[in-house]
Amino acid sequence: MNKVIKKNLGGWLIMLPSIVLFIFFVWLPLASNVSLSLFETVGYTKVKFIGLDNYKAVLNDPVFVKAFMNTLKYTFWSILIGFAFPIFLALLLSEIIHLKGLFRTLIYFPNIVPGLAVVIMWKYLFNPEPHGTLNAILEVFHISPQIWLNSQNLVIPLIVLTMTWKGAGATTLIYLATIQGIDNTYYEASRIEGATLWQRIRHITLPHLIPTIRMLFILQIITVFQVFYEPLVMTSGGPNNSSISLLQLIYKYAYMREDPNGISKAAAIGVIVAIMLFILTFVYLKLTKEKE
Amino acid sequence: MEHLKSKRDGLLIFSDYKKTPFKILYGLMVLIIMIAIIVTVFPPIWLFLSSFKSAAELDSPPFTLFPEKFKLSKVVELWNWLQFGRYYLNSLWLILGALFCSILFNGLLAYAISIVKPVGHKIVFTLVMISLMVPVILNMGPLLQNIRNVGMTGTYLPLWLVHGANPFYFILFKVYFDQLPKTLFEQAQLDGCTKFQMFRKIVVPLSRPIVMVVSIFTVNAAWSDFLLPYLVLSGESAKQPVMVMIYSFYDNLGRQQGLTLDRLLMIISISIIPTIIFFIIFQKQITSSVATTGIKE
Amino acid sequence: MKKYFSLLVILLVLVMMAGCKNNDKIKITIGMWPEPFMTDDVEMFNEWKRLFEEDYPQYEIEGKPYTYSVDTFFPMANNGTTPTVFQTWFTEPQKLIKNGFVKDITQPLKDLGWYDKMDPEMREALTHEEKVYGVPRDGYGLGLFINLSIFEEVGLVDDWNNDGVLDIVDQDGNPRYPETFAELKQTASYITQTEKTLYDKNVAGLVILSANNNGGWQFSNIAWNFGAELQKQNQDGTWVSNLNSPEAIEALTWIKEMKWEEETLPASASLTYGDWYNKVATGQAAMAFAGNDAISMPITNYNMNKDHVAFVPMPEGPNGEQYSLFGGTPYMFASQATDEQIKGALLFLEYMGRSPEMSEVSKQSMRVGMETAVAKGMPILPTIKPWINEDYLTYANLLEQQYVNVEMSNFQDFYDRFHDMRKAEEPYYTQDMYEILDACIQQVLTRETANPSALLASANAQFQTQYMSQINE
Repeated sequence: MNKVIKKNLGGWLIMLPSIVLFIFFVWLPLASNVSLSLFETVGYTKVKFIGLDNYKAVLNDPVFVKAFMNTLKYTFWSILIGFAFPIFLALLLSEIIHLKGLFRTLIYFPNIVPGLAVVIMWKYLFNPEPHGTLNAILEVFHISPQIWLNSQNLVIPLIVLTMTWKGAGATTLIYLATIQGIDNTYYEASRIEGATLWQRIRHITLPHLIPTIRMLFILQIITVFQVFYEPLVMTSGGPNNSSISLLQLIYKYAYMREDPNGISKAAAIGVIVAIMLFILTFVYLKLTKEKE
Repeated sequence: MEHLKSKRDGLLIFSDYKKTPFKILYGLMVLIIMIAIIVTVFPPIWLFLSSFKSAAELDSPPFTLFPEKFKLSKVVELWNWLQFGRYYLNSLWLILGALFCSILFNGLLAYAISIVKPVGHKIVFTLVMISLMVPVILNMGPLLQNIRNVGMTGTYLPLWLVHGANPFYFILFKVYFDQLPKTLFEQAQLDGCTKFQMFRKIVVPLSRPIVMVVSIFTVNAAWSDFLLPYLVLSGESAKQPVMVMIYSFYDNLGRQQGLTLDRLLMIISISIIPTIIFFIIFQKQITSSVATTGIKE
Repeated sequence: MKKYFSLLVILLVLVMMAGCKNNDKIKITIGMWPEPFMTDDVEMFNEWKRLFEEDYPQYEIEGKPYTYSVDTFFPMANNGTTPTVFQTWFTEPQKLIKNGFVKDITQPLKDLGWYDKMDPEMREALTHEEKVYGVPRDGYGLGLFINLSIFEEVGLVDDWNNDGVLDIVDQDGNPRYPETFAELKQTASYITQTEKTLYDKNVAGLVILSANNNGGWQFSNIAWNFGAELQKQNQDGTWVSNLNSPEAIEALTWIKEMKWEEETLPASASLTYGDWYNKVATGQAAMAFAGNDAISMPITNYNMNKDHVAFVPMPEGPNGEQYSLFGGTPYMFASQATDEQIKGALLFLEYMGRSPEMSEVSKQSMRVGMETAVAKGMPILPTIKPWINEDYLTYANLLEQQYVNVEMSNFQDFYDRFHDMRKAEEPYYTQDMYEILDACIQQVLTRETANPSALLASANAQFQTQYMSQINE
């Protein structure tokens, strides 16, 4: 026994401070959330064990149902808008010869602009009045002015577009690196066999991209589950809650509402989201393992 | 066309580009990329130009791209009025502490799990991986309560230390350490090095590239983050970093005298400038770190 | 490694030491202290601090600017670092009291003799179970803000008496502003159409706010005037939600018609607090519902000409009911403050000119406050007074008359009628009710097919089950 301790003590000591931090910032709050969600609370003080009542209350909240559905919509649109485009762009970039470096840099640039700056900027670009910037651009093409974020149908796609504006450059670079890593002999061989360009993409490039695509696909879905400050700043969740996200609802329950049980209801939503995230994370880890 | 000759690998090669359909294709490709570039570059340019307009000018029809006049003095006046410098100092201080914590704690944990491998390291590894996707906001309530219970509310400590418990950075370190040659450590062990000495003498000198990568991510994260600092430093307006200041400004837009949209856009423009400088200096490292790690932020 | 740990320890110690500066004076932190960039105000506060500390050497005043916001208050209060005294809104006290974040100051108020001098309705808003928890700073009432230059453009008003100021009341003493909701609709629609045909401009007739609880806030006033009661007390004494009365439905329908039939509202359905005045000041809108405490905003922030501004009473509803939603800004006190600190903080209010005391220092501060406002280019108008003692009212009115710098006839009707029209906000879960109403307003503003009756019915059910059912338990 002593020997085991002696042999491992150094290692344990090295891990200790980091583990303390993980406990403090992640695991303990996660556990507190689970326990808070089962109680009636005043502030953070637990008053009475009420089992799953908070969960029932939350599931009966029409806004929760909306936020949940919105999360699915965010996912759908982010796959439609944010997912295919970077692959396409990476393919183009890899075959471009002129100014490749400059293009790469410029396309990546939005990624380093702080998220808060990005969403505030786009919020005002989406000015719905006829003299708003985007409407003025539309006018040049004789398209009538749009109400952008004030449209219940457009609001989620537009927020996703904003997120894509920020994130697509980085995703593109990841794909680009994979594409450039493909051994050129494959292409040469296929060329000799007389394969067309589409066949080359279809049978060489895409198969090589599949592991990366799989990994980024699930990562994208997880990121979408974390949508928070984008609707908070751009639309406050509106119009009529058509862009509110689950995390935003947690924030509302915990800090914005006078709900006497707000903290524990926020915790209940937190647990629900955490379970969904764990499942997705599990899938993600499985996939990345396969990639390696 | 000289350039084209150098294109000898990939989907399309030089010989392809000699054919007319491919020439058209190439033109189309460049066009699409140009459009993509315009889309990426236009918004910040719009932001920059708009911030020089007056509040009334910004809101009045018809739409104009350029302000009536460029008064650089507006930047200076606004900077002095808001005493913007102190927010930058706060941010800098925040970033330095975050860097220290993120490199030290994630690095140490990865070193222990990847190389030292004490009994139980697999459990720790699993737990860290589980927390990979838990956003801070999810547990914000209990986390703030934790921070309060140890008396760190209103200080920078929790904002530094939170970067020390980041599963992403941990994985980056771990993957890197996993690739270091094992023989190095075996030799050191034979020479009687302790675990700490091994860290200092072997791991640290070899880790420059990965430290660089993690540093870039950390600086970006610490500079951009506003929610946790906003809540932890609530009521401590003298300690707030730039992003929190911008968020508070946004939140109070129009509620107080002088808090107008043109000024908001200008402080955002100003806040993007350090990012651009940072980007220009570390451009190579940034773009290559993204491409190699497969992580965006 | 040792190096790192010792570094950390040193850091920890340093941070902790910075936290506790020792000093035997009683420290009072002032949350409504202006942010450093409001230099004029900071100077004024520093002067008050100097005078106060001279007279009460046992106290030390510390400025700690805190702008109240719902989301940051909870973490701060929970941490116990709330400033001794801070400023909030009249919808907040009940929530803060129930959470135990603020202190009962009934006794010190009675000791100072301020209790009975307080406007009774404002005191009511700060009272819970017979105990008072705050001091009102001032009140506001909702009214209709008018951009007179647009009114002139379409021929509704003129400079009748040729004094260079546009007049909302004509030479015969007839008001030229809409006095009922029917007239408001007519006027707004007329403005939009006329601007379109005469000048080819897009001008909204009216701005109604619609997001961040501001929609519900303004809607309650509109609904009241249509005859609705949004929360009502049953005969057995229980309070219930009453969001879908026929009158409330009528009010929401009115908004819907303004949007889709008259097409006289702005395009955005997410307008928040400050958004009304950029539209009115830049000529994108002719009228807006607003609080009288915000009249200065378009003038100071957008350089609007103060001679082109009128502020008139909320219009009358179809059944003759006419209210002005009445709210305000109270000062409240941290629950962890000691009795000594509370006393000092209250005394400091006198030095700020925010008390009913008519001492020399108080009078001087009221005057300085006025002069600072003039220097900042603000329009000086009457305020809704928090105290009702005769000497206070006399002096405050005297000051206002002395400094007033606008054409009062463009504002007079609002102030003359406010006292009879004012009505406090609905009592329970006010902000949460506003949040739910916001969604209804956004729905009618973004969907032409929206059904006001169905919307309010489900909003009512939601508000009743989620909130109102809890107060009767």
